[in-house]
Amino acid sequence: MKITSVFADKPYSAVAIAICFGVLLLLPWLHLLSPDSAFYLSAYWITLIGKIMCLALVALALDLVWGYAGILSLGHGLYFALGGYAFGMYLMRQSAGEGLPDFMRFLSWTELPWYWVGTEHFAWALALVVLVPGLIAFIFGFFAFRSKIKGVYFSIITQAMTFAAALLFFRNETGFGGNNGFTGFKTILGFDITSASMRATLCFITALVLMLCFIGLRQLMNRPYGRVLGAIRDSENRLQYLGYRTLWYKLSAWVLSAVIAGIAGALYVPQAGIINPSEMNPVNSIEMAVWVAAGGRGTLIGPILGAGLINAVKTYFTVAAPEAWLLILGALFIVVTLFLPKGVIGIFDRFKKEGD
Amino acid sequence: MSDVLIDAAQHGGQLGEGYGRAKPQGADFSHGIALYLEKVSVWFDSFRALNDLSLYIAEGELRCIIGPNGAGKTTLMDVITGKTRPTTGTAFFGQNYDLAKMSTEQIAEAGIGRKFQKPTVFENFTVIENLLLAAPSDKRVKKSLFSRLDPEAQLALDETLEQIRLKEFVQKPAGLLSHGQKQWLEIGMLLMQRPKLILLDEPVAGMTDAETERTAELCLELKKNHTLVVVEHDMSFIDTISEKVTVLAQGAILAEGTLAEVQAKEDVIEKYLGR
Repeated sequence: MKITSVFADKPYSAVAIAICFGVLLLLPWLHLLSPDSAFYLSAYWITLIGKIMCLALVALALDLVWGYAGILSLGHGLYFALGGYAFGMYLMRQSAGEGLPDFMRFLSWTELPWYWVGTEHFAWALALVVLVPGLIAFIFGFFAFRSKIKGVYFSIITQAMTFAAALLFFRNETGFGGNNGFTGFKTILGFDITSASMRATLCFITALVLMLCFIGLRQLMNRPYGRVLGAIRDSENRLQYLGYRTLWYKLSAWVLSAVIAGIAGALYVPQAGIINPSEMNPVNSIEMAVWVAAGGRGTLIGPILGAGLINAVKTYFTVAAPEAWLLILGALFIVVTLFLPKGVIGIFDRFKKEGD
Repeated sequence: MSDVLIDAAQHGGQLGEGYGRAKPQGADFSHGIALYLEKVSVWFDSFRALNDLSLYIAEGELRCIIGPNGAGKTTLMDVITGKTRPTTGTAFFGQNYDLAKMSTEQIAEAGIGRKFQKPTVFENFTVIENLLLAAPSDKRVKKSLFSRLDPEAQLALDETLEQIRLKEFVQKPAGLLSHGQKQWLEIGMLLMQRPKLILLDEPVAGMTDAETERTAELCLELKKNHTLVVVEHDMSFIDTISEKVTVLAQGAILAEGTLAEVQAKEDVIEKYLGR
């Protein structure tokens, strides 16, 4: 009896996935070629690819909790934005130099609020990127899961959370630039943020993080831990009668997911050049769930694909036919629900079955 | 004994749901009794699901519980597994576990396994995955991140598959099994937990005659190493496996004895068997 293979996941062609990631890791460097070269990618494309990969990272994070543990979050935009703001603080300090960031001077503040202390240090900013979303997810998740809040009630609360945070961040007094948020970034570690090499590096790091998170999560999901999460989705009560303390499984997955979303936000902000409270708008978080559903829940690779495809289509249509985009998104969702219940990745499954 | 009880009670109170709890040292059956229920009542508003019920299950016993619908059989199971708290009375597992103070997970860990009325297996998982989910003795997150199947569990796995006769279906998704096979799989999951006390809630409901027969054999096999409490309606099944039968009615014990004895009693006939 093959015991070692029982926990192995559906083997989507590892080769195909490796090639895709290889391409993503190579693409950023095409930006450094001479503009005359046939393979040159402009700054527009490089930041677009970088941003979409950040969104794919959020989709991956959401798949961990929704696809595996069955916990639908409609508020992952919150953790994404928190990570973005944490890194944005560093970027603002970089461009402000010794003085206060511009928006504080406009409010005639004379000193930094306490939570800005230390944000001029790159390492502390990176720590905040992980700690802030992680801690907030831990506190929120602990009480929500301990109170056995499940299903649609949980989803609604996550949505209320992100909306409340958006309102908080809209206030100028909160100290995060109000509705304008942070923008006008100049340097990272002293390097010009708009330089070709910095753009390529940021895009490359994003691809690398995306790949590492994918591999890491896939390893994790193939261990007993992943099976327990799947069993929570199917029947949490039964699992408790087997002696599992499901609270800690859900909470650990939830926090991990929030941290990954935060990292995605931190990578997004320098490439987008702006972070403001509209990132916490509930609509954004709902869209994230659409990417996951469209790509295929509980597959890890599916949500990455879904985020990539939908955002590519969105980028095209918001320029070509801006008024039609929401209709197209709606139609897309209907098509997926009706014909592709397992998402885009389900198409491959179907082919494989016919091939057998 | 009282020292032990107080110790366990305080212990249970402190356990919480978290990490770092003390490893339970196992149920103490030194007095030969596995389960004590003393004057247990459960009230749902004004309705008394259990009414001053006292029940003792000896170690190694196979006890059948019968009774009409609404007699409190499932509530009794719920009290034992921590799903429902007794309004009054005490419930102890061995000498040292106060069930009224423990969570469902702690009770499972202490060695009580329950099979539900409706088969609840993880339908998207294969037979072997279902069994492996039940297997680990340490079910904390940390362990699940690194663990592989230990040789002891491997041995238990082969043995269990043999017992529940699902050896040729190991890679089949549990959702595709027949009703009877699902019931057996669930019993198999119980066995993988290596419990001391097994509760079976209507194990043969909806089974064919052949499946019922096989389940009876299985119960008799389990009896060799476990204490069992079986709730069932099927009289011929009970006749095959039972030594001692308890009849419940309106949340209290109506009669206790062998099946022939209780079937002969007037009030049992009146309240349950019908004329």
